[in-house]
Amino acid sequence: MSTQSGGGSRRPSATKAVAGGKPNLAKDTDTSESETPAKKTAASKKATASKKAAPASKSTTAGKSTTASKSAAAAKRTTPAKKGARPATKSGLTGGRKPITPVRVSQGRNWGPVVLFAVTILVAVGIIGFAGYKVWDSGLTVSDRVGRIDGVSNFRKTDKALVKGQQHKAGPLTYAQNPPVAGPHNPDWMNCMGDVYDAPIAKEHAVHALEHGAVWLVYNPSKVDAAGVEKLKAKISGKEYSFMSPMPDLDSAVSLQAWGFQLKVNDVNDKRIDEFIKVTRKNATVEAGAVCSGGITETGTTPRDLQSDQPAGQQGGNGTTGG
Amino acid sequence: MPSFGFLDNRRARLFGAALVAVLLLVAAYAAGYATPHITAPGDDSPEAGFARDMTYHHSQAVRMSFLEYDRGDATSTTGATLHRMAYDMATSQQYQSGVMETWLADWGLEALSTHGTMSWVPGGKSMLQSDGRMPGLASDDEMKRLETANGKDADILFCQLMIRHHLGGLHMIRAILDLTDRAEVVEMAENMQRSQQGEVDQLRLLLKDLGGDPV
Repeated sequence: MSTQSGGGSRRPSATKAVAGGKPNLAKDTDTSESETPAKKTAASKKATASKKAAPASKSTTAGKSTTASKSAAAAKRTTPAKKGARPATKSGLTGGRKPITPVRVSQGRNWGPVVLFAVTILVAVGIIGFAGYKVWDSGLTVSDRVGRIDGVSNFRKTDKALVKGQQHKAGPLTYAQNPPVAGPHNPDWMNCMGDVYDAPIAKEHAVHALEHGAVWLVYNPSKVDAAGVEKLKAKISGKEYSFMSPMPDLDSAVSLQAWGFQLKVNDVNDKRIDEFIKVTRKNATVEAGAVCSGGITETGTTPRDLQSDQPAGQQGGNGTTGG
Repeated sequence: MPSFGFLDNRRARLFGAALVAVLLLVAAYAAGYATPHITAPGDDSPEAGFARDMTYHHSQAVRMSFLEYDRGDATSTTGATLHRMAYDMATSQQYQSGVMETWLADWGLEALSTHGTMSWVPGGKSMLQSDGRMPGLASDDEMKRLETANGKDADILFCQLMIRHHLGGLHMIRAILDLTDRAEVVEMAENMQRSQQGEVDQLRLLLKDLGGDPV
């Protein structure tokens, strides 16, 4: 029932009750005991009468007043002889009893439009700010995004030589990290179309898949039970640019690798697993457009080219392949 | 009624302010919308020329890769490596061609060139082979030979032709890197440079393994 925004609601009930429209000031003027419905009705009638007599400016003034104190002041001004009305009408306000000669003073600011304007500006700033945030957010690199996940090792920052890419080498390779996250790798990549390998795989092929943008989920079978493995499978199976395999010598329960990034966790329910996959899968590629299909699908920790039956000399020649 | 006049003025001013705010937002949006079109490379720009010529250049590499995938000796170690390399080259070069065609569409340009081959490089004519082919492209005869070669012969011929093809491509890539600082073009060109250089290095070693010589 409040007729004005803002302070109007702070006014006592009597005022609200009679306030059917803007000219509540006039109603106040003639109300003697305004708490009962009958009196209110009477007051309304009187209000109507006095509204007609009241100058337009007064109505406007009352209508525009939004703070209790101002309305009270306005009411006081217009009711010099109606002392009895004050206590009832202004029961919630201090100083309501004192009738004061009505003098028109500055009516103050009209807050309605100001508040509306302020709210509009706030909404506009909010929209623009949100759009700006999205633009900024979309401009972040994978490295920036991955940095927001707790506990991630970012080798793109700490070891630029390691993450250079395009270094193809045949034969077994040694890596400083376990599991490896980047570096020289076999010319053949591990197939990473959401493949779930049930036995350990060659790191040399896996690292090549990382270069193509895949996420490699590795788990330690002695630290993750069957139910846990099923949970992990559900995150990988059939999801392109990801693959998973067991690794008995893993120092954590689960380890996630993307090119240059690593996250080790000990709980298959850790929310960071999904975050890491979401941020890095395909995005972490350093070879845009390189595919996950057509790769090695055989398990076994020896790189596949050494298992060939080619003469040793040919192996040696191939083994020096470097880029 | 002076107060209504006052009110109207306030409203008029508020309305005016709101209108100005809305117009500014519209103008800002229009500017943001128009900027990519205004700053897009033109029809005779190096970026557009590179995108068109490199797409053509890539199409031969994709063809050669499919032939090698089809006809090479995938049972030998070197052949098996070439087999997968060919798969990698065909898929990534076809992907890159798709990206470059998307640039041209985004820039509002035709996918095919109406300008001379390599005309986007100052003095680009000198980069062409004697019969007008782009640098590194195999001749029709050479392609016919690859189409009929088998096993190890196909492996050797593929290495020879692809090394030369990539070296020509690297020549074009260096040219665009000298001519543009447009982010997406630089990023793609550097990506091509890394992978093609890496592949040239590897193909040379594989060719040696196969007992072949560079052409």
